[in-house]
Amino acid sequence: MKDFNKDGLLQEIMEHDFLVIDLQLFLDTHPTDKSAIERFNSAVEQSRKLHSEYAKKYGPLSRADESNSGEHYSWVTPVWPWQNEYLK
Amino acid sequence: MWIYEKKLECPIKIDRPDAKVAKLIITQYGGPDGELGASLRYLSQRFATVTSQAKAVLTDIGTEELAHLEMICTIVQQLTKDLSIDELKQQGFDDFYVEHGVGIFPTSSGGVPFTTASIQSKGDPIADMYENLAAEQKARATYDYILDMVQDRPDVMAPIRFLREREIVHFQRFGESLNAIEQHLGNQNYFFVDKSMPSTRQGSFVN
Repeated sequence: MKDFNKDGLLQEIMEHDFLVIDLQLFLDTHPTDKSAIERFNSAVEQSRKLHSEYAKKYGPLSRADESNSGEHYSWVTPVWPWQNEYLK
Repeated sequence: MWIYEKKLECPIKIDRPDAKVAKLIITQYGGPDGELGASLRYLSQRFATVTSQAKAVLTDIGTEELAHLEMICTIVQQLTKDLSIDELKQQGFDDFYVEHGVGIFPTSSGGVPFTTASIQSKGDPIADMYENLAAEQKARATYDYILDMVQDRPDVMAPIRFLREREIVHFQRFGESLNAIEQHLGNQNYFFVDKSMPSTRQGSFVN
């Protein structure tokens, strides 16, 4: 896996998650398309890895990424997606 | 149910504020062809549709529209940030400002607050799906008109182009869903809805 900084990793996650959204919608109406299923499975797997890497380094992006937060609750962060500072 | 993801569907980075542009963009939040209406329309209609595939498409597109209204609100928020009162006045934001400050409020560009009068959930899978095809085209046309108005702002055009393309993809998926619903109901029957409707409605079925 490439080594990204925080913003790079976030952009990579956005790209993969968008691929998942678009392929899922395609599969809704083409559920037997083998090549789309393969691409979907690989995008889901890649997205899962990226989310878990991000959660470990910078905190969870969603509840699905939460693990035991130990001593720190990291959902409340200073910058939220709609803020200009979200992406450098 | 839903789970929030702390990110946008597509990155947005607005370079500089312009409240006049914000006022054009906000119509895709609370205007008649905006993303809020789209989401409510599809998430309401799914309860009355007849094929599993259409239930999936309405759920997934209705969910994606929530991500789209977040994108629209983000563009508006960044376009109205850090402006002085004089700038807000000069940029024609005074009427919005007296009611909402620079908060985000679902309204059309013309100042009509969000209304469900511009959406429909008819309890009829064919009527609903035709409504959705029209809705996606109307939203796409609105994005075209917005693009006409922001030719000098590549930072605004990028996410608007993304949203415009999604309207086209959704139109395609709804078209495929309509075909599947028609097939499911049978071409002799599909103008008369589902056979599971109450018997008073079934009188008109062609068998």
